Amino acid sequence: MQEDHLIQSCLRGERAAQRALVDEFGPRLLTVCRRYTHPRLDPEDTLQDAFVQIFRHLDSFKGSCGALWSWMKTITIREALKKQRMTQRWHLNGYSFEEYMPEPENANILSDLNAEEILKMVSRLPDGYREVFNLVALEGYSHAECAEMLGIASGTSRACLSRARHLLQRQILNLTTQPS
Amino acid sequence: MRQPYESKWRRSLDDYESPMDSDSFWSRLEPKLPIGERPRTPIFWWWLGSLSVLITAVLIYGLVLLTPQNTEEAAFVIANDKAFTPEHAGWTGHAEVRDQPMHKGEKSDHSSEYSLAPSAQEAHTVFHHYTNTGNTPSTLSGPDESRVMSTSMYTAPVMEGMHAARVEQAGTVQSDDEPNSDAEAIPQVSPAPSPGLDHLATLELPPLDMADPDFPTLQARTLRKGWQLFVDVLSGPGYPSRELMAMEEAYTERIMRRRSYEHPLESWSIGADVRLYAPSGLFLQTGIRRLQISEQFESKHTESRYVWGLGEGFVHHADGNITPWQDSTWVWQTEETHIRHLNRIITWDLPIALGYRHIWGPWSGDIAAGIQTNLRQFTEGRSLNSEDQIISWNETPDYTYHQQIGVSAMVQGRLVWYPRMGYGLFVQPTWYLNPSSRTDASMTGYEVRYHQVLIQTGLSMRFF
Repeated sequence: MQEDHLIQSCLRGERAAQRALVDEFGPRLLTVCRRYTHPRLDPEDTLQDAFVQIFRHLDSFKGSCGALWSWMKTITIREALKKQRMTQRWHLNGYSFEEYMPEPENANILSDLNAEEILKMVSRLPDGYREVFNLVALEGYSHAECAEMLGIASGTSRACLSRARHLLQRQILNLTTQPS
Repeated sequence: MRQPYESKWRRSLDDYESPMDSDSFWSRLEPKLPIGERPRTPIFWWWLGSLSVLITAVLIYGLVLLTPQNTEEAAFVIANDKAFTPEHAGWTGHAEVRDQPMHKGEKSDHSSEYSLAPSAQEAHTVFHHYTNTGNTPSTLSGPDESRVMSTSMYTAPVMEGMHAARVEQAGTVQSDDEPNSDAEAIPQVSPAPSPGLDHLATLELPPLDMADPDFPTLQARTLRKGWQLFVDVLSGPGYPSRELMAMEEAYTERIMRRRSYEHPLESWSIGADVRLYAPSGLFLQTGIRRLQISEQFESKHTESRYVWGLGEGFVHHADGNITPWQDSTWVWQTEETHIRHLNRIITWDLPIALGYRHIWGPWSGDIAAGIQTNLRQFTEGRSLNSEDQIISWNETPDYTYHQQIGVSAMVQGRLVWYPRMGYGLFVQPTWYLNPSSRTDASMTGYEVRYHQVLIQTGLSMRFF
């Protein structure tokens, strides 16, 4: 109910309500942006563009109260991907192509990571891998959906996910083998 | 298959709030935000505006251009063929100016197009056509003067201070047992030579004294009340709207993306209707209509593809060294594309509706409601590149429409103006109401349903 009131106020262009919406959802959406944005780019720029789109299309939001977060998150992901495509040109892929990758051997270590560590590891992935890993592994999109969103083949999406997992495993391996 | 740690990561990241300086973020965001409420689409109002312009034009045409002062129609008399037929034994051959005013009830036959008006003023601004086909025997008696055919047609303008012509092609006295006893008031005329079939009797009559309290005023009643059959041809634009329904929440993003590059829909319809009017004003309508919706999607976006090409970059070694690297490999290639997709969806509609018509003067208004069967026949389209060259035409799932028989409800209104006897010009807004179960197209994850508001204009012709 409170969310509905907030939306209506935002639709009327009330700055206080818009600010409240930014304060409430901004930090969590910033996490989403950090997951998708290249480390060299400022995720807050992406978040700004996302909020502009959110306020511009808020009148088309017809969902229930609980769906607002999902809706805003979807817009943020879309903006992040759009921004990513505008900046990326050629990406290095120096790893051999393998469809099959073994299960990570350091599953326990991976599970114990905190959010900041996870964000750091994910941001180190190459752009394409990071996008696929975020969409499929973390957001729950299917490979077909992910492929459509990124304009790639479904098989490519599978391969990227496997490689992303492999790279994450190697990062963990590097962390554990580095002398403290 | 998702790894166990990934679910944990997802939960962890969803709840995680990254530190951010809210004040500075807001200060940078605020100037970019739209001020006030977002304006709604003006398209619907544009159609209402065009409708009002159309109605105004019709009114101006009807009230200004076709006033008696601008009408060059002269008074004339068209007599019944039989009255002019020389071979006919009872032809009188002589038109006589009636020097007596008509009396109320004189033209009260049920087939008369006109009836007497309560005041002369009402008759002044209207160009009157009136017809009296009579309700008399169809044969003339000839020598037997007790049975007379008295069938006449009048066409005469009536204006203030002038009654250009009011003539009557009269026969002889009817017998007393005739139902139309008004004929008794018409003096009998003597036989005269026939002017032939090519002649019409045109008579100049002296002006009538409209101050005479007995002067019969006339009131136009363009539409008689009775069983009538009208055939209409109609055409006009429509304002369709597209409803996209996500079957899963994840597809809301896809719908938004599609909306971001679609143009407003356009549609045009042509058709023919048949209407049977009852004396009470109720009518039954059916017909056929062809409806065409034009869709246009214009996508300008960058697209990343994973292709075999030249890759270059740096290799991070385990020992911390970084070395340049270049080789043929799978790489991401980003490409800007600009494609327009033009689609046409053609539907044949078979409406059947019930309605009610109300008549006032040369105008009528009606409202009808019913159902219509929609035969969505086919869709065709093409894709153009930025130079408007056709690059493909594929029936992608997004543009595949169900070729099915659907049923929808319809509500329509109609405003008709009758400039001529038996002919009407009309404007007709129609609203198609599609049931919630109807699906016009589907794609993985969402469905498409169209709604329509049509603004049609047309010509209505009376058959009987």
